[in-house]
Amino acid sequence: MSAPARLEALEAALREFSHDDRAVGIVREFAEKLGKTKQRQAVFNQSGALVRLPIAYEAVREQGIVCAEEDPFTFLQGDIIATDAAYFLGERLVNARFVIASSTCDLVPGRREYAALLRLTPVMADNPRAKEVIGELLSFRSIRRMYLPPLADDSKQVVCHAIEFDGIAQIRTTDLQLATRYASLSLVGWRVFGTLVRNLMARTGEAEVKLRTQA
Amino acid sequence: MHDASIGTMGSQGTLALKPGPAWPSFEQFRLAGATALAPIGSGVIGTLATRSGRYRIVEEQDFQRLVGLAADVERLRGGLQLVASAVQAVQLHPDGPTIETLIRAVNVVGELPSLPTREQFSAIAPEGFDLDPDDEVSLDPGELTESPALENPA
Repeated sequence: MSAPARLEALEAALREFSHDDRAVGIVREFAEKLGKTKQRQAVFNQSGALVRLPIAYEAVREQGIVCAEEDPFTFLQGDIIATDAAYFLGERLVNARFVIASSTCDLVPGRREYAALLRLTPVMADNPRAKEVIGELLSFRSIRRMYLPPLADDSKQVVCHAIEFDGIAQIRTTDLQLATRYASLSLVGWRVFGTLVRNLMARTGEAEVKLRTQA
Repeated sequence: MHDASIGTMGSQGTLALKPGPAWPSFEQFRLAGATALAPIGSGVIGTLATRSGRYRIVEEQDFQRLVGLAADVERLRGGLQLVASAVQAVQLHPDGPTIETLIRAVNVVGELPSLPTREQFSAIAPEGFDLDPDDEVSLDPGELTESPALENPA
């Protein structure tokens, strides 16, 4: 088999995996079957549905969920944090909350120099277009945002949050270790988050395949 | 520059630390209880003296501001080292090319945005998807099942 032919076989083998969007379709279909946005809010706002109390290394060690040989962690992918030491296009963001986008294994102290963060935007009840925003978020049709329910320390004006996928903030992992940790994602929250993050970075349509084969 | 939401340092940069409550021993601190920590915050720091050393107690948000400022100092350090190296070169070789290098170094540092910070982005708005005109949305999360009680951030 010639080299190009072998590469064609590689492309064919990867086709269903590298840019696959079926996971996003599953999330959208699930949301749609729940009915109107209010029903979706009730499901995704349930205690522990998408977010939960921060998962602490000491606690899971005591419970025997992780063993001593495994890397200790202070943060997990998807954790909701606050820090004044993250940068976005050269500006330091203050009074902001973030969701950690980097994979958990890259957050182990000393393993990477930088971590990627996504901004968390509250949706306030007095926003005249809040209902539309929430409707869009809970349709999961957006490729720019993901829905999160309000957190317990939010004011009553906060109806929900949006994880912003439009732009990535960065932080040194040493500074990240000092951030305030508010919550972790639940298992299903982490699956949905992973689905959207993957879709953010590796999404395609038929047109792009044509561009790369016929141009 | 951007809109008014951005300042060179903003209110976050004017963090002036002020001495607050002080406890001369751990025992006194323990007896005082958690309510004695109430004045700490907004730049007020507590002091705890123990046999093993002297400790400062900083409220979480103040601590995050300090970490943020420390990150900026680290960022500036590289630029200042560049200028210092260029100055040393001029001292050793005060000729045209080294002076030109110094001028360029000063310009590079001078053109750095002066520690810009951003407190907010534009208000969140719909993206414009077609939505069900009869959709029902709650703006009162209290009437829905509540999310987990996250009383004390870790």
